[in-house]
Amino acid sequence: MNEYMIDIKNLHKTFGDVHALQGVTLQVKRGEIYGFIGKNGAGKSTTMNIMAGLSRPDSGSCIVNGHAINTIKHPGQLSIGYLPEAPAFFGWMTARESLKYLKSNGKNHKSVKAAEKGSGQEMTDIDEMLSWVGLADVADRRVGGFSRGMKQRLGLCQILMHEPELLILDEPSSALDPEGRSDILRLILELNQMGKTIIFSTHILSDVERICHTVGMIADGRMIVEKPLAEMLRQDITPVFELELGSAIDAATLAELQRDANVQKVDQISETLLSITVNDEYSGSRSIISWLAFHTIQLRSLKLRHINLEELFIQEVNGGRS
Amino acid sequence: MKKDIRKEFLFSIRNSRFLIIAAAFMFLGLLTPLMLKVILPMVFSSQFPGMDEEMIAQMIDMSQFGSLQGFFGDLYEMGTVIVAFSLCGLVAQELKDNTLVIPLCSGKRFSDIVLSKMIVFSLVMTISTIASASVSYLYSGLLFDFEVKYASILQSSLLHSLYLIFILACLILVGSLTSKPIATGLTTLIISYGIHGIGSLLAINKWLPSGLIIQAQTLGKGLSDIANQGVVASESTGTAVIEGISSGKISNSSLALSVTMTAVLIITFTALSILRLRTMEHNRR
Ligand SMILES: Nc1ncnc2c1ncn2[C@@H]1O[C@H](COP(=O)(O)OP(=O)(O)OP(=O)(O)O)[C@@H](O)[C@H]1O
Ligand SMILES: [Mg+2]
Repeated sequence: MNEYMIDIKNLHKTFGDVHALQGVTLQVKRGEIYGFIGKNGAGKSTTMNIMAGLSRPDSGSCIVNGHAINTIKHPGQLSIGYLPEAPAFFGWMTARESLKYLKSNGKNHKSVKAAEKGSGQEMTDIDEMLSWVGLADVADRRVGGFSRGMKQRLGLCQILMHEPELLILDEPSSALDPEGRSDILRLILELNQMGKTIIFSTHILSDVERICHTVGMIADGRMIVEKPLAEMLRQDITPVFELELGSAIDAATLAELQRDANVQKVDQISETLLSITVNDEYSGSRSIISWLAFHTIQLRSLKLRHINLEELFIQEVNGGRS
Repeated sequence: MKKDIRKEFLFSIRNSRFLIIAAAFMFLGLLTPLMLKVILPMVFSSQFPGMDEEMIAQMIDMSQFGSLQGFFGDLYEMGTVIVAFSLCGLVAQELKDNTLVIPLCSGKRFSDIVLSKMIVFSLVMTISTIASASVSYLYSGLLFDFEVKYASILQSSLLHSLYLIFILACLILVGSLTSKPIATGLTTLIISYGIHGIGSLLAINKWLPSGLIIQAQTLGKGLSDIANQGVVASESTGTAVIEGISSGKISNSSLALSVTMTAVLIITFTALSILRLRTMEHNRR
């Protein structure tokens, strides 16, 4: 069996005169959570549509779960669950009916309990599924009346009914409130623990930071970078101190801090908020503390953080290694 | 497949498709005899005060036969419009809304999807046609006299249903090509009336689905009989009669021809729809 669940090489796709994909290369390992990030119009949905077997590339190769996309007769062969960007439902069905409709035949009802124990068991029992995503109370209501968040959860249930190995989720957490987003992320993590490979697209980078093993960034139809998340964060491990001061300080005082050899950069975010990039945590913190003490500056809070994916993303997009 | 059929059946009920078609057909079934017995004579006598009942009876066929002929004529003219616009979204709307995306990736087959639509809505239309024709048969029998055999009503209903199934196959094919419901409905109507027009113009209706419409309106009597009677019950039967005269006696073989041709077209259209769905791109904007 191929190590990769998805193996895409040099994918091109045009719509009229829009060259949407200009050589996308992407690899998703079996069993991982892959975060697919990029700005609006970067080509995420176009790529995912091709992965799902719903659309054909102009050129390039795309192998999903061992099947070359160009040779399949039907998306059903890929053993995938695809939750599109704006999932559409039969509004006149109830949630339960819509799941019943998609449930694959002839497979025995395995328990979600078993799945939670990490035995790799599938869960296709409709009631268990519905309560798993928090829709048990509305199981017999028509889907047409569901809110976007409810639809997103139902969509997640729907694509699991035939027990796929790979889940392709196009912006599953966008348009949800923070709580809804957290919920979806938790569900993704649980699904991954049950042994599913998952690729999901988003432009909410903190979501990626929270759950992904690998991150791929796409811009203007090209992959800019694809790396394990840990490696991505480690490589630019520059520590940054966030300072909140009790009162405003003058420019001369600030300039003094800037001249310190251990300090790389000082960003004044607001009058009392400073973001200080230092060479290393130890010497940096010593410099900052002695500076504070010398000028008797009142300190409200001090926090250390590492450069986050968002900043990294902006770096990469703006003239990184494209 | 069973689940797809269940889904289409639920759709037909929940979205009132069954109700719309059955009620509209039923309405025609009741209206035609009523028109003939009550409303038309009233119109005539108010327009031409000198006319007595006998003269009116000579002008319009005041009989169960005439009434039922009129009913099948109306069913063709109005029923087709109703079917076209209530079922134009069967495939077109699903493609437009991308409601097939999740089912497809979950392994639903195109053939099952299309065939279950064909099966369920063929049944809906056949049931509606037979029921409304039966009602029209009873009502016209009560208003006039029972002179037509019920078996011929059944036969006409089945012929007409087959025609409507052809319309259904058309709706599905055009829908899969255009993904636009209204355009699909209009195109199908143009096809339906176009076929009838060309068939009448070139006198080749027996080679076409429109032959079924003409056959249905003969109520089992054979066209030449009607021509001899000189009965004109409705406009569309008029065409039938003229063709009956020009092409001589219509035999059972031309009925078989129309049935076969329609069946072939239905199967071809269905196969083309499945092929089209298989090869097209899905989840488009
Ligand atoms: N069917 C289509 N017809 C024409 N252009 C298209 C079509 N689908 C996509 N495009 C174009 O391809 C490019 C990539 O679109 P895509 O939807 O893949 O972006 P995306 O990364 O998913 O964006 P978003 O974050 O907004 O969802 C865009 O420029 C878009 O306009
Ligand atoms: Mg998108």
